[in-house]
Order: sequence, then C-alpha cells, then structure tokens
Amino acid sequence: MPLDLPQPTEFAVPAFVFFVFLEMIYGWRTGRTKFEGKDTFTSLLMGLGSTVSGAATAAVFFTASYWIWENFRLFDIGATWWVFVIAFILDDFAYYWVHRFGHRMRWMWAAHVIHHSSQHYNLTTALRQTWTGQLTPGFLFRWPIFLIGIEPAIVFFCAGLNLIYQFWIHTEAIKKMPRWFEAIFNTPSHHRVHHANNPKYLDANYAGVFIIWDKMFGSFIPEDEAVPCRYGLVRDLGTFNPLRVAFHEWWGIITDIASAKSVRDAVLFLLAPPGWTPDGSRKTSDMIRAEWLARQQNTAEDSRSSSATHQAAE
Amino acid sequence: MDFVLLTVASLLAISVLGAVAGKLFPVSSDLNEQRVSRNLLRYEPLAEIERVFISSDKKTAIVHLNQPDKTFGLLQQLGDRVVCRVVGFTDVETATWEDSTVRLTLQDFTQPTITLALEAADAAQVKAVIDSVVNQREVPDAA
Repeated sequence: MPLDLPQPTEFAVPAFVFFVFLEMIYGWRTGRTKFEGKDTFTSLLMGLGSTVSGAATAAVFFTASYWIWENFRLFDIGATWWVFVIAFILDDFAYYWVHRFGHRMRWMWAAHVIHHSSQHYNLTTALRQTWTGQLTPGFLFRWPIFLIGIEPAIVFFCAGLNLIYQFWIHTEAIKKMPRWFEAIFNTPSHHRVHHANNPKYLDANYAGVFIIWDKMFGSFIPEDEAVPCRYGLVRDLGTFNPLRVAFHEWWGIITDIASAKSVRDAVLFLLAPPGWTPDGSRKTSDMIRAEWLARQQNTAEDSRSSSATHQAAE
Repeated sequence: MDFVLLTVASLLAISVLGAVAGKLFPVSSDLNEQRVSRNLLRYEPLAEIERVFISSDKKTAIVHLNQPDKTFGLLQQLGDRVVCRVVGFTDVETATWEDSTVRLTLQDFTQPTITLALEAADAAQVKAVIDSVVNQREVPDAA
C-alpha cells in the first residue's frame, strides 16, 4: 500500500496567489518588480494548464514508479525521518540533472522552454510551467532513487517541497541573501542568472534547492551587477497565445525533423542542444557565448592597443 | 465536480490577477528609433543599421540593415517588451501591400503574421527594403 502523503503544491496554491498579489503591490509602490497584464495572464494560464495536464497523467507515472520500486529496488529503506532527508537531497540532485538536460537537449527543452518564455521575472514566472513535460524522458531521472529503495511517494512529496522552495526565488524584489545562504542554496540572485538571456549567463545555475550542484559540476555563474539580467529566450516569443506558447518548440522539432536530410540529422534535431542545425544556420547557447567572448576579447585588445598608442604619442 | 469548480475558481483568480497587473503596470512607452536600435543591437550585436522605419501606431518597426547582408530587422512591441527578428528571404512567405500597409506572413510559429501601417512617406522605401530581401528567393544561387 503506497504511503499516503499530502501533495505540498496543492496546499501552497492559495499562498502563491497571495504572494503574487503582494509582489505586484510592492512593485507598484517601489518600482523594484515589474509586471505586465497579458504576460501575467499567460504565465498563470500556463500554470493552470500544467496542473491539469499533470493531474491527467499522474496515475500513469505513479504506477510506473511503484512498479520500478516494488520489483527492482536494491534495499528496503523504510520511511523514517532520515529517509525523507536523504530523499530530499537525492531528489534535488536528480532535479539538477533533469534541469540541465532540459536546457541542453532539445527534446527536453521543448517542454521546459515555456518556463523561460516570459520577458518578465516575477512570481508569476514561477508558475509559468509546461503542459508537455510528460512527453519527455525527464521522469527517468528519478528512477535511480526508487532503485536505491526509497518509496516513490516519499520522493514525490520531497519533489513537491522542492517546487514550493523554488517559487520565492522568482523575483527581483530580493537582491542578495546572506553570504552563507547564497553559498549553499538557490536564491533569487542565482536564479535570475538562470533565467537571463544575456550571453554571459546562458545555460547556468540549474539548481532546484542546493546551488552546490552547479558549483560541483561547473555550471555556476554568479550574478554580476555590471551585467543586469535580461529575461526571456534568445529568440523571444512573438505572442501571448497560450497554445502557441505551449507547443512552439515541439512544432519547430517536427518541422526540422520533417525536412532533415538524414536520419542522423533527424535524431540530432531531437537530442542535440537547442539551436543546433546541420549547417550552423541557427545558434546554440555555446555558439552565442563564444561569439560574445570573442567580441569581449576584441574590445579588450582594441582598448589596450589604443591605450598603448596614446601612451606612445605622449 | 470539485475539479471543475477548482478550475473555474482558478480561471477567475487568474483573470483578476491579470487585470490588476494591467491596471497597476500600464504599458506607457511606444517604439522609437532609439529603443528599436538598442533592442536590435542587443538581439544581433553585429547588425549595421541603415535606417529605422516605425509604424504609425508605434508598435512595430522595420529596420533597413547593411549587415547581416540580405536581411531586414523586424521588431514588435509585445506588451511592454520588444520582440526582435532578423528576417531573411527564407523567413518570409508573403509580403502583401495595400496602400501604405504591409502584411507579412512569416515562417514563425509564434508570430506568423505581422501588419505594419506605415507613414505614406516611408512606404516606398520600406517596400524596397522588403523586396530586396524577399526577391532573393528568385535568385538561382540565393541559398
């Protein structure tokens, strides 16, 4: 009999609504946070659609998870309090990798892109969630935790807590947390970098709760006050239409695969990073960053050479 | 039934929050040459802007570009933000003119059509800009 644990996100929804409203009032009074009516509406509608789509398919994933756990687990770990602690940490580790692949593999990006598609960054952005996560292999990343022996209900409970934690970091209202906190946990500052489309910040800070995973695996970039974050996609959406928002990248994949000249290209349109093309006609994040770095270096060299010329002239 | 009630209540809350956001944060700025240039250069740092043409409602703009070659800039104000595109001939399906208004249909799932009502004085030049890109399609070695 599966453990009967509450779903944390269900209880958090009224609080989410309250804090969104609070942030709006704060932004209106101070100018420190920004909203836009249609963007807010679209973000929240995406959140509702995500909840509906998740509810419609929950039983399938729940059953599959339990099948894995009941038939293949290596250890009987039980459900004491420390199991919840370990589960939380392991689930956050799995989340880091799901999220990293969500940015680095177009198949998973097609679902995750929705969350990044607003040009605003506020608490409604936190709720701007995918309708199509179930169409990606992201669910596989939790299977190792079930195989270790942790019951799926515990993992899903921890995953719910993880999502709730990530709500408050979607804001510009908080500049920095205390240094010790910034060192260990994901924060508004770290997550602003993650949502930024500045070349310097692309594909960084994938953490859910613990930023330490980014530091361990080389994906951490601190927020730079000299480079204010600009939010959205490298190629921003031209619509607030929720259906086009939800499916635009899937449509892109389908049309690219349909026009692929080889099986290899078709597969890579799905598995390679977003922006990959066989002829290099579009740009991946790595290409954008490399071009930006080259421009920075050219500017620095021009500056040094100009300074040397000036000194020589003097 | 609970699910239906919850969904309806959610839609109501969403509508209210969207309306409140629209009221508290009205969109007050339109496109101007400076804003167009700034956003386009952010989007395409290597762009060389020859001239900016802004629609009469100041919500869209076409930019005559010297670089990248054989393209033009297309900007649209979406809410209080700007959406940028650098358009080549493969991106444009049709460009249809009626007096000083051009309707572009694009290979762009999130922006399939865009209509610009231009000042009469700009229409001829904008037509030349668009045609110089779209007509690449008819050049045998354009690709």
